[in-house]
Amino acid sequence: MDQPIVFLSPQSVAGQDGVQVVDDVSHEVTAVLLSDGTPAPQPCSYRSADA
Amino acid sequence: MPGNIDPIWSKVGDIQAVGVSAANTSSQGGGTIGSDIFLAFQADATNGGYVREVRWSLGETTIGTASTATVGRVFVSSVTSGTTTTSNTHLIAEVGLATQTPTTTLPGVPITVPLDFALPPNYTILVTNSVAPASNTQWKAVVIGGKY
Repeated sequence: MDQPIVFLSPQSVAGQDGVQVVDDVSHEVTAVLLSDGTPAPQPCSYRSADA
Repeated sequence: MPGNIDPIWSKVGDIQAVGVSAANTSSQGGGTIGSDIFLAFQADATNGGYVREVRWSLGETTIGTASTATVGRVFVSSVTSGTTTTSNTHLIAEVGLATQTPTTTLPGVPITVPLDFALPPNYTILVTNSVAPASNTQWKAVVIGGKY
């Protein structure tokens, strides 16, 4: 399941949308991606888009 | 002569808490308080405080929602607001917060992290989660301690 997110840091991606990909069975996060599908820079922080 | 020859006991209980609403992938203490690192406890400004434990409790606005597995991190810090760095905020515990699905008949299970130490005046306990919470769920860090 893709959960829409908004990045808080680093500055290079702050404010951008992305997705937190969560496995439907294990409920573990398998990837954190920018809106273009590339992996998010590490370290980073983000919140749910609906939070 | 020592500064204090008596055991230090807290004069009154002090329970503070915060809900974690964002993800912070770093375990090195960097962040912005209230944005991606959260203030769970602030010691008494004059005499400091005692912290016994952090209790991670899962709250849900819609019961029956599976939480997303995450890591709960606990930091001790000299900072009370604004930006934290690795030089003033220090990781003291990490604990796995596995997925839970509380229902109307199956309760969630709190996860307790023992602390058991004294905090200098205005020092803080900060907390983070490694991933963002699922919709309608939130891990809350409840710190149980006292004021000196």
